Amino acid sequence: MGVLIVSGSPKKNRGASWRLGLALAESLKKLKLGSLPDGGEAQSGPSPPMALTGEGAASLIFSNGLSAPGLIENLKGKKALVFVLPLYVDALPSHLVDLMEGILGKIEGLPFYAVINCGFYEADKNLVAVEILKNFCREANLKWGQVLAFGGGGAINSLFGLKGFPFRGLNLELGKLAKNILAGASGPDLFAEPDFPKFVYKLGAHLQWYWMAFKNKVKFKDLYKKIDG
Amino acid sequence: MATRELILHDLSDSDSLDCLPDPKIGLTIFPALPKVNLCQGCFGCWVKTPGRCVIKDRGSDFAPLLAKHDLVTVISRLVFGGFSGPVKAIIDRSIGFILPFFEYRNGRMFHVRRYPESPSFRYFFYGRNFGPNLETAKKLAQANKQNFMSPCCSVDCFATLAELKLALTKEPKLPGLEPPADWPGPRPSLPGA
Repeated sequence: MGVLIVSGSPKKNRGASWRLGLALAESLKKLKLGSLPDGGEAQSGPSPPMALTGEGAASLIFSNGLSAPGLIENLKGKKALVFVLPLYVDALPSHLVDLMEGILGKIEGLPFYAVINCGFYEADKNLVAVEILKNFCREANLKWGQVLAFGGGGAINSLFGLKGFPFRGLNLELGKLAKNILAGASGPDLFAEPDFPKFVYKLGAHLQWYWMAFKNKVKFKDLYKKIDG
Repeated sequence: MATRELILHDLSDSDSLDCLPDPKIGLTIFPALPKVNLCQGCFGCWVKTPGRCVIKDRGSDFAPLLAKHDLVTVISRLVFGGFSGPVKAIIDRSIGFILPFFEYRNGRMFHVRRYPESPSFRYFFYGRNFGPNLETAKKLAQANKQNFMSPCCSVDCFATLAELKLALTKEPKLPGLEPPADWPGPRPSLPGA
């Protein structure tokens, strides 16, 4: 029996949540859960998910366009459900809220795990979203497994790959999470932040905003403008 | 000066007609239904069309409205301790109200304000399963207050729409919402710390 990893981002491209989902799948692979085809494309549910080979494979699917029946269909034969999601205004993206409401009472008893990443440096900025997920598990009668909260999510889609610096701490915690997923066990909340100090992250973020404005042909002073009309 | 109030709600048409105040100058009603397009996480509201969401639907009108009101009343079903999907879809599209840049406040990272002032927020949740969910909602309100630099916010819950309607008829009173006793909790220990 495998694991279903749902990318909770509304993006249908290789965003941070999708990359984190792949990194988790890699950690599961290292624990001999399954192997991941290189460059495999995640698919939106409920059409066939990106199936991984090997016994007890993990599957990774998008949540945008995924209906509650579609999620339930994809969960058939799975031993655990994992959400990998971005923090949206201190909580969950809206489409995930609807999806979670849609599966209430339909998949009871399944172990549930999550990875949440936010753009702030501090991992504990995800704590309210963690509570929302725990409330969901309680109401849905799922077995609360574990959550990994990551701060500094803006670094995930930067020049760095997810292996090694600056994500050594993240990979360590992903390994712990993967072990508990494999065992169907629960564990304490996990936290990770990038392997460089906050001021470096802030500098990198600001440079990134200016770079994106430049690519969009937006004048730097217009980044600060106020909307009157 | 009379309070300029913006009401964001997920009530049905019939419930909104029954519960919400009559139209008047200084009052803006913003229904969350029908649900707007999802935030795509593209940051276009920061680096492409600063201040406004790039998606061309009514969801892009909400962020600029925040700057034009003194009080925002959010009426939402309480769902797992947060907002309903339709209300959250609007809120997700409103981060253009703040700037992408970061600043430190008490050593923690927050976004910089775009406008000189922010509205106060009051949250009217309705539905069931208040218990722990309501405590989560208070923490969510506190987090949003910090991120939107709101001067104050309050959270109330109502088992029936009749009670909610009665609350809406009263003059808003906004004591600052004190953070819960365990907010934001001890700094978690990180690997290698």
